[in-house]
Amino acid sequence: MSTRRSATVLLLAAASAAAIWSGYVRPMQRLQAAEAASRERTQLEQHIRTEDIAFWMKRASEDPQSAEDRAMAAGLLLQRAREGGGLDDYRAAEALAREALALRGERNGKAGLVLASALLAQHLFPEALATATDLVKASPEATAYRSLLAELLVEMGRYDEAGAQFDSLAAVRRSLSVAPRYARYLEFRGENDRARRVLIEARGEALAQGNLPREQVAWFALRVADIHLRNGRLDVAERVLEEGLRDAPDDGRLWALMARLHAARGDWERTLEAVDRVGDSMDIVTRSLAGDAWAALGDSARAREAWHATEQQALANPEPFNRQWTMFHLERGMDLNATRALLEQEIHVRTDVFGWAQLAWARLQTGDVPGAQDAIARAMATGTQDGWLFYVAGLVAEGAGDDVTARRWFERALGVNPHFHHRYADDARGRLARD
Amino acid sequence: MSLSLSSLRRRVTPRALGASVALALAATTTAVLASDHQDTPEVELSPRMDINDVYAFPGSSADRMVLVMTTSSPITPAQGATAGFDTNLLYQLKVDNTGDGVEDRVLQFTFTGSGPSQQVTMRGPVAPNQTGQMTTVVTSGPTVTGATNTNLGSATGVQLFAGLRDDPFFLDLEQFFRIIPDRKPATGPLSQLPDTPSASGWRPVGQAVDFLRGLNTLAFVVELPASQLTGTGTGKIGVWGTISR
Repeated sequence: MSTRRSATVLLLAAASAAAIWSGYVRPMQRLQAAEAASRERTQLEQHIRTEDIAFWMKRASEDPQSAEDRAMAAGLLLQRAREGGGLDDYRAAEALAREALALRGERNGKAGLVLASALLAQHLFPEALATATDLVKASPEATAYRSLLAELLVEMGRYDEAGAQFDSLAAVRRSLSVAPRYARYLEFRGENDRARRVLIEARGEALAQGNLPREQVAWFALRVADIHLRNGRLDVAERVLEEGLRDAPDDGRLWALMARLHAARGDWERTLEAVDRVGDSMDIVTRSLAGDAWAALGDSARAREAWHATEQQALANPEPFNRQWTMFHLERGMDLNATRALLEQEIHVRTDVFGWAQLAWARLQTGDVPGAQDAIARAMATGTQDGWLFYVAGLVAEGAGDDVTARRWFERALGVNPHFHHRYADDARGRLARD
Repeated sequence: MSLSLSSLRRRVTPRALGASVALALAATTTAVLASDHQDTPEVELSPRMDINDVYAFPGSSADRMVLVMTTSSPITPAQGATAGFDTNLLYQLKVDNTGDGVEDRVLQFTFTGSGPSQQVTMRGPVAPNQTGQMTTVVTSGPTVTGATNTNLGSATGVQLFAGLRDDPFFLDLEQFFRIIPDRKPATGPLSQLPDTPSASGWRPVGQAVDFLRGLNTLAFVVELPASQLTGTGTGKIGVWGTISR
């Protein structure tokens, strides 16, 4: 090799190395540094919160009459529960808030708000609604109380009343305590695009504030990614999730949604990788999804193991209105009569869209087609545009022998979201292809 | 020198949601006469803007005096490790030395950096560029600059401490709420709240509990020659604090 040629090769090698350095290695280093900084900040926030819980609890023990100390500790326990999904923290927050309210019923909205939120998180909807109603009666001008009441009305399926509450919050609908709840309401009303815009704007505001806890910043990313995913924009959802994970690299909720996203694409290896990152906040959907992933990869033993773990988790922490649990049974055709009986019982209390939709499916699977038709009609009366909802409507129509209507619903399901479910989207396509 | 005690705790609460003007530090404020912590929902939501108390008392010698303003309480011990002043806010102590309720001297505090390693700059005492609710950062007069959480300046001139301190306010808050169940307004929906006190006096010694115990605040403590505040005025001063965006 000549000297000139050697020099050229060396120059090319150096240029390539520089290009790789500036185009790949340096951005990766920056990314890793940003993740490390986010992780450090999250750990610091968690450490401060743990210390603060101990601080306020100690003060509460020093003053048996102090409602304020108990309310402060309860609020922090609620925050920690939201981040880690810990049922014990929700229960502790609830107990402390009750103590605080017993000590001082008036001018104690902080404890009332924590109590209602902790009850909501545990699906104790009627009492949560009653608590929020009391809060609004005591302080009708407080945005946070009315916003929580509106959320509970949505959860209970009382959409007209929720709408009235949101109308009264029109001036502050863009605030961070109202916007995500309003977006959820808009989705039930079938205004998915508007809901998405509201959420995107709220996330922008949350990011701009700069001083929100990482857990809350991550939550806004979760909501925005979720609405993209449920409307079939998988690439956008993935980008938002990746952004969220840069802020909160270990947030289990973001990883759980990432698992669903990969499952929607049929990428089972990456589904399992994401499930592995979920950690302690693993919910029933995610755990059972792991089973579906193993099954799709042909490992039936590990699939059964994951599904068994799902059952054990649900049985260890029984809670009312556990739609993930009833869905788990309906998807697998398990314990159908008992599942239907539970849904029949709960729909008297909580008349929401997805409660009616699950009941429709349960009735269909137990041979009650007229009952299923009635339930799905009620589920769709609100105007919700959801792929799975339309899919169930298609199944019910098919069960009633109305194949034309069934086709229409399957097409609409896939129109709203071609990836509405990692299994049933393909099933809908298959049913359409049969004709 | 005597102090006009009635004005020791007068304060102006800024309009918390006003536009932030980081460079000019022009401020629009709404006057509210009030005292102590978390007086309004606005400052509850923006604790860095919450003035807790303003104090004025004689200094280490007869010709010196101390002005103090506390903000941002309650800060728990764990939060103290990262607590810092807001770099987008203008903190001011204002002094009226002619008895007309208008500031003749101001001490202005601004910050750079974050957390416990911030730098403070105190400008004044000096005549303000503008009196009332709108003002800007003064460009003339003495300044003291340095790290927060340290003593700055000189013992014979102007001395400044800006940083974390135990909140000196003292209140049995729980009993306060039993004596006055709600500080409700005279009109509007909140005026309908029940009025049912369950106590008529403070808890006795041994049972009463200071709610502020163990809680910290971000404080400005300035000791300086009294003449720098009284100037050629009446010899009496009124002092109040403001925080502005």
